[in-house]
Amino acid sequence: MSAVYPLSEAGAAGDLRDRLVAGADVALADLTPWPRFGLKGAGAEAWFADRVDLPEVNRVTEGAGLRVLRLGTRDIMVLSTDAEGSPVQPLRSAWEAAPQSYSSWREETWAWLRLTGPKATAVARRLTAFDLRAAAFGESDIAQTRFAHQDGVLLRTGDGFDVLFDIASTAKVVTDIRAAIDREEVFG
Amino acid sequence: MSRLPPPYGSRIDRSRSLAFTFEGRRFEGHPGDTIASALAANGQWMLSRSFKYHRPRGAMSFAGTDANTLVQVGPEPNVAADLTPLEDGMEIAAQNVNGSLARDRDAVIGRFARFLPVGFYYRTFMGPTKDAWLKLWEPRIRAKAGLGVIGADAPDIAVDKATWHADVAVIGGGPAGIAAALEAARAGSDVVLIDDQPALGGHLAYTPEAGAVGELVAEVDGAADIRVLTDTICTGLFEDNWLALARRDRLIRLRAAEVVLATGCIEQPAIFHQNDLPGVLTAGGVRRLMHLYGVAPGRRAVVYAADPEGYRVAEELRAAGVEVAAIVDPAPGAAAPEGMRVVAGHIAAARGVSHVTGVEVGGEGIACDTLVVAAGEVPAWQLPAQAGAKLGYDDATGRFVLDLETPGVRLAGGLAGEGATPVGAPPMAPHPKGKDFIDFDEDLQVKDILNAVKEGYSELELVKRFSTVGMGPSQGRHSALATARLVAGATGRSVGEIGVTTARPPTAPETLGALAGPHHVAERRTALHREHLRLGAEMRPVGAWWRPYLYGSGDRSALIEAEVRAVRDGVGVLDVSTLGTLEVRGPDASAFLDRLYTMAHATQPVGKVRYCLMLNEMGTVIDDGVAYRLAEDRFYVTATTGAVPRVYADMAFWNAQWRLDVDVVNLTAGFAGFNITGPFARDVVAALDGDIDFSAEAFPYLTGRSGQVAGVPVHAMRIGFTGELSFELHCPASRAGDLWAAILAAGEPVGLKPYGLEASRILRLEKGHILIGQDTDALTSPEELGFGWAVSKKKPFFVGKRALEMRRRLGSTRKLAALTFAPDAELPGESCLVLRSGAPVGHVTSVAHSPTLGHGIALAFIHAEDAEEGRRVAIRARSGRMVEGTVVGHAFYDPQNERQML
Amino acid sequence: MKLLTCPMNGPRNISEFQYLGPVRLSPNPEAASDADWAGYLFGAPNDRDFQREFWRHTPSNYVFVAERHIGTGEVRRTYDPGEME
Repeated sequence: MSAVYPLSEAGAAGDLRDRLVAGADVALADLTPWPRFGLKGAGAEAWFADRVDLPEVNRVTEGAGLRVLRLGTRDIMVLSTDAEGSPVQPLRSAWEAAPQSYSSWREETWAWLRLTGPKATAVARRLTAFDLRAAAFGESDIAQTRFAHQDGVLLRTGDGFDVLFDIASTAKVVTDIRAAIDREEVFG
Repeated sequence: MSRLPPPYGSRIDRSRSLAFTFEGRRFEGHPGDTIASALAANGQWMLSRSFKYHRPRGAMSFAGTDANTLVQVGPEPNVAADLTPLEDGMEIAAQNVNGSLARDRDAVIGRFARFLPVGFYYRTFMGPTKDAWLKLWEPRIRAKAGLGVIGADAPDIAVDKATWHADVAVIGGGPAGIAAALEAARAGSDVVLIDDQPALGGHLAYTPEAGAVGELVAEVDGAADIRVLTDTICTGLFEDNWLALARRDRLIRLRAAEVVLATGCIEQPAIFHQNDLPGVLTAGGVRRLMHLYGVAPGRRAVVYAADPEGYRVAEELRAAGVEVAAIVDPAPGAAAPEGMRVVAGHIAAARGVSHVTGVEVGGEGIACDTLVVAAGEVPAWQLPAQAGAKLGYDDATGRFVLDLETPGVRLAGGLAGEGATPVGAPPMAPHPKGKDFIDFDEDLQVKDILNAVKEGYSELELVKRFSTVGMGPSQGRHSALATARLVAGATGRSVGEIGVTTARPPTAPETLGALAGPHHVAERRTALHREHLRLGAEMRPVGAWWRPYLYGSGDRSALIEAEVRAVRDGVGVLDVSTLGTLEVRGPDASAFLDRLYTMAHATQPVGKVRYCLMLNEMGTVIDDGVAYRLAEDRFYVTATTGAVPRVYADMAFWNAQWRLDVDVVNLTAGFAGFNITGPFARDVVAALDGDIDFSAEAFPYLTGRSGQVAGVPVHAMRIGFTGELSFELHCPASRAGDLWAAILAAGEPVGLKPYGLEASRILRLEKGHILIGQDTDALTSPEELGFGWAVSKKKPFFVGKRALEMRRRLGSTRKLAALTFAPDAELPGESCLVLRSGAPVGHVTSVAHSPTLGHGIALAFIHAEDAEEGRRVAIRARSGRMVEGTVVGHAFYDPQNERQML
Repeated sequence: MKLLTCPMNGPRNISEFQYLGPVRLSPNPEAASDADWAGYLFGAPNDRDFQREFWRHTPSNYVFVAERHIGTGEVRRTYDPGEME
């Protein structure tokens, strides 16, 4: 049976998928169904250190279809760079076969949206007070901050951002981001 | 009315016309006009009536800082006419007018001014009865004093709110601000340059040297790292250089590493009889009119030149074709410019009724239609003061001076004292006929300030509170210096000692819509939101969450009663996904829970579920739940829906001190949960495919099992809130739809019925279960709840233990008790008082009519001595009648707890 | 909007943080007198000086110590609780 995600047919958000946009100036996509996996707590660092290129806290390393996020000393997660997530599944399977450390359950607790395009930064300035200028927020930086009234995690992706946040608030956040996109059109 | 030819009117586009109405009359202006400049071009100088005496008023400075330029535009009140760009089709009306602007019926009030002394309202409207102010006077005065009118049927407007960051923020786009911005940009900084006018240039834009502005602005436009915000007012400068920038319906919050304040100076009015008449203009006002808007201020002007700037304006007026009847100079013996007459002295009075017709100087009357006042300036101290600047006074220039030492903020241009010319302090004796206004917003005259001091209010802040000086829309920009001089003179102190009242944000009016920003209400949905809708649920918000209140439509109490009966007689299922869930794991997990909760978890076997009670350090109950031990080092812990964010935060807080090797994740949104409850509950779960044995022997009460059910990984717990046989299945939220579908299918043969929140509340109350926060308050101890069994006597420490011991010795006079009511009795509401010998001893915390028992039931705090089976307690119902409840010493329903043990 | 520098996340608006009160050293709960324990619970020192406080950065759920002047609000240092003396 298919998994239920917040924006999918039977999910919590109902018919909000039509609020996603794919414009030339700005695009909003739902990546919640994309594979991801994380460990948190005692042993997380040791488990991942043997398998991936481990970044510093609040930094990302990227390679081989995988982004590795270090959210804390003992809080590490990997994000797939595509919908299939081939490098994520073997990691998860290896862990499930011989669990050490503890799942961070982020694939269940967090939704994952991607806001991109030349106007993504202008839109994002309406959603967060975090300093989005390149000098303060570099390519490999992670911002654990407030975004669209939610505690969340913000990453740079191309000319935009990925944001991970409370999955139960997905409908509200999609509505808020869409409203910010509309305001960018009105106010510039 | 014709305009001055170019190059006058640099801001207007003469090729196009805009039509608008003012007070119902049709006018035309040009793009680039403000409302006030377009009206002035049409000879309409009067814009409003004054606040108290309904005197005719117009714009004095055309700078957007005046008091009496607020007009109503369509549904929007309090629009600054001398700042707001004219738009085609605007419908503009004057404010504070009774009748019409030209013939205001309340203008007669001005004649009774001597009966309206300062402090009039405080003294006069005290009687005749105790609440006469509220009931009699205030409504009448409000009807008279209304400024604008809020259009209740105004359309929604789009508002915008954003946060920007910059290395350098420059407030003020005059020459000093532009220079600071260019310098910072050249040094590699990212700059935001802010100005309240539609174009940069500051005072240079409205002088004959305006051409120089073009080159500066072109340089700014060419600088890639300068973002320019015109039409934008910095209304507040907050800690760590956090700036509020208001741009009509937009609010931009700007964080800057460095702030340069270059907001320049504010021209000051001169004090004389009728100094408020339309046609009295400041030097800067005249220049703005001519150079920006191409409007001549009149045909024949008198210039008051206390500031040498007056002489230059006189030359500019003559160059524009305006006759200069005289220059009035307070300094004796000044040389007259060629072809002009200089009169030594002060202006005693302006003549005229609704516009200036002449001036009186030393007993002489000089006819004119324009009186230009050059009486000196003060630096715009509001933002520097918010940044921490200290204010002094320089006798030579007659100006306030600013001293700012706050790191990261500096002053430039006029604020830093540049360009200050000596202007002596004028004489401040009150005119015998008054109308020598100090504060144009509040209609305060010289004698009003002096009287306030005579009343004993010698400190400036008290003068302000008594007289209301500086409280109006212009926030003391034109009154502060004169007030300080008057108070200094009357109390024998220096102007610097008196200073100004505290400057607080906002420095200029802001629209509430922009402050509020786009509408936002938090909203969380469970994974099954759409499933509930499909089943006909009525969804209601519970905190941020939306939950099914009941299923179906029709008679609601019948629907709720049917849901209750389904659980008591058959089986029901409740979506408990909003229940707080946490995973506590690590080598010290059990030690951590032992410190945090009142029961013993170190000794809890794997596979057991144990009640959790959390106290704060005062020994007050703050949360409860259960802990299911998944493994030696892993617990699955529940918390109440409303409290889980705090419990999660508290766990991080305590462990910052305890430093145990433990990790906590908040699974609330990530795990769904379903409580299957009722006599047939086992029939439902046993029918599900999976590897968990749900039999009574294999799965006893207060145990947990983890495995696969319908192909979905679950934690199953035998716990419940209803008192019936219950299984609670929790699973990852992404699989909730699959598990829900399997449960409904498995339950169909035994009539499984989903039930909502209201039925759940009744079921739990029938069982006498408490809800923390509803049935407890900020002082509730476990003893008051009868929860002594849940508090470990053996553990050396848990949060609240020591305070609990002390409170136990003090004793408590109240207990939470279960009460029943006669079947036909009136039921009290929640919070109704429990009385004992007429004195309140407690209150009702939960109450409902029990469909199962057929009578009312309640939980209530009562006196501890009454907490015995069969005692009767008196409660005052909402109707005011006394009702009687009977104490029962056990759960209302199934007192022997047999049903949940099936 | 004041800035506060989180040792893990850097300078952020103070609205991203939760104040958790001054660092208080608990007396031994088994040996302390009632008066000592009440003093620990309710007797905050409140001197016009720097005090150590617990703060939590809510998006990362990270608790740290700030040395803040309770008169001026100046924060002179923030650090991980593990570095507390």
